Amino acid sequence: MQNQNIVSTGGVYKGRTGMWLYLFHRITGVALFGYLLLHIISTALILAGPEIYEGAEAIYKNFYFRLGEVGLMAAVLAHAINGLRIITVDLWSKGSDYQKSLNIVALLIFIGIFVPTTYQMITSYFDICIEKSSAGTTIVDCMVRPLPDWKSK
Amino acid sequence: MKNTTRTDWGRRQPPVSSSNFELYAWFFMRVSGLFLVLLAAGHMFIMHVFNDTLNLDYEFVAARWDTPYWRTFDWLLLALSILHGTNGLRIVMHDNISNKLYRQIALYGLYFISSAFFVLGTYVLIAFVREV
Amino acid sequence: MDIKLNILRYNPETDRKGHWEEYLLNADPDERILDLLHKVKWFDDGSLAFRRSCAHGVCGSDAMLVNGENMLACQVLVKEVSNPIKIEPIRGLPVIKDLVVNMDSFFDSYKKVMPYLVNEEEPGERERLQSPEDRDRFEDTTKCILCAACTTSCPVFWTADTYVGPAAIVNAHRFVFDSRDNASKQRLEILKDVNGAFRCRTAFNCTTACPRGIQVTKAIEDVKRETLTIN
Repeated sequence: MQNQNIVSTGGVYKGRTGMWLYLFHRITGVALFGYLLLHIISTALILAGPEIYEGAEAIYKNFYFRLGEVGLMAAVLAHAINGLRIITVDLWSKGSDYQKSLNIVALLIFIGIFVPTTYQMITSYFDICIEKSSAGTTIVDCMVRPLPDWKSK
Repeated sequence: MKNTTRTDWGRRQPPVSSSNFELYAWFFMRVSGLFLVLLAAGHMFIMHVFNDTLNLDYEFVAARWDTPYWRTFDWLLLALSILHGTNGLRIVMHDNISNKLYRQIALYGLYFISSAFFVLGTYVLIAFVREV
Repeated sequence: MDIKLNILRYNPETDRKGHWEEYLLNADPDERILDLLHKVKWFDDGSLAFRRSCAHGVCGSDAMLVNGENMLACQVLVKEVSNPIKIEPIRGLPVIKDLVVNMDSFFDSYKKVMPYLVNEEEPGERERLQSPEDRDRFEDTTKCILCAACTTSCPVFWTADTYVGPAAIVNAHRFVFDSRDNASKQRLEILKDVNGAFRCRTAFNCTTACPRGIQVTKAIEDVKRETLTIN
């Protein structure tokens, strides 16, 4: 009879934005740490010389990884901006009074940086892909092709 | 104070330690976070916006690491992000693994992995010599 | 108005897990959630267990999770929540029966932060005087009724079973910022432990849950900053 655990049976607690941001900060934090480890490994391959390093980098040079990079950018920006929000709440004595406004400000800053960044990353991908590929390559080709087959110019 | 039978009921009341560690860890997260906003976001913008990762090759990295300035930048980024991330994961483990033994195992695993990657990253930054 | 009331029931003698039970009843929109529970207990199923004492939002006995949010059943009207109404015991504390939880560890955490005035000096001829400004510093946290609505709304408290919880920190705040008190340092010493104030991740669930409108997270932040300044 002791310690009846019925935490999960009633559905999610209806917390406000703060609770979801807390969860979000954790998830992006853990994900970014995992990415950091992978990134260290892939960069460490540079010690093995240009062929191996560039061979490994080639895996990332397709549209799916570009979307992944946009996601990475989103995670970094969101974690950073939400982190700044947390610092503001923690270290500014009036921070907790304005926490709802701070949530909105953080969201606006995120959108303000993320949208142009994404635009730049996506358009630059197609520009480089079409510029470097053989004549007649379309945007769709650039999207579906798993590895770039462009000739080095 | 009278000892109740409360320990039979699940939630624990461990003794209080008077170290400043949690305070410093908390403060470190804020300070390193501030620096990481500049370093990590700067790194992301340099690699993904001002340059494009499609153009990333051996030569690009080698040229960057020709200057000790960028090696320092990258090492600072490496050190701070590993420390920040390790402390973050330590907190997540403390919060979510209630079994003391499992938590200790997870924490030691984390510390081992983090130090290994820190050593690896530092080694790469110091030992890299351009081949071409 | 017809109300569908779902209550998470648990009988320690027969059940191994909690289960939902549905009650259909008629109630006035201006009645309180507590009145619904009374109707069930008095006219339908006498085995329902829940705590209540003053029934006017002062004693803090009937904190429960109504439609996914912590509140006092005696303080919220039927028309203020959506129908059907789901009622669960507050989370993170062991359930004794139905909506009654074991609050021992909650009060242990409360006692741990020395929630009483400590001043060994001789008071002299008259009261220990305090300026209105000094009194205002902890005005908000004097309102706590120890209902546990804040502590059991905290996501850290649900998973980290050693965290002292917001309520204990609020009550520490009440004396830490009292100019007449001399034990602030000791309290902050207790709260800078791994299970103390720095476990707070500013999710603000406690602030929304508090039936007395205490700015709980703000109080915890005050405690954190104070700890930082004196160290």
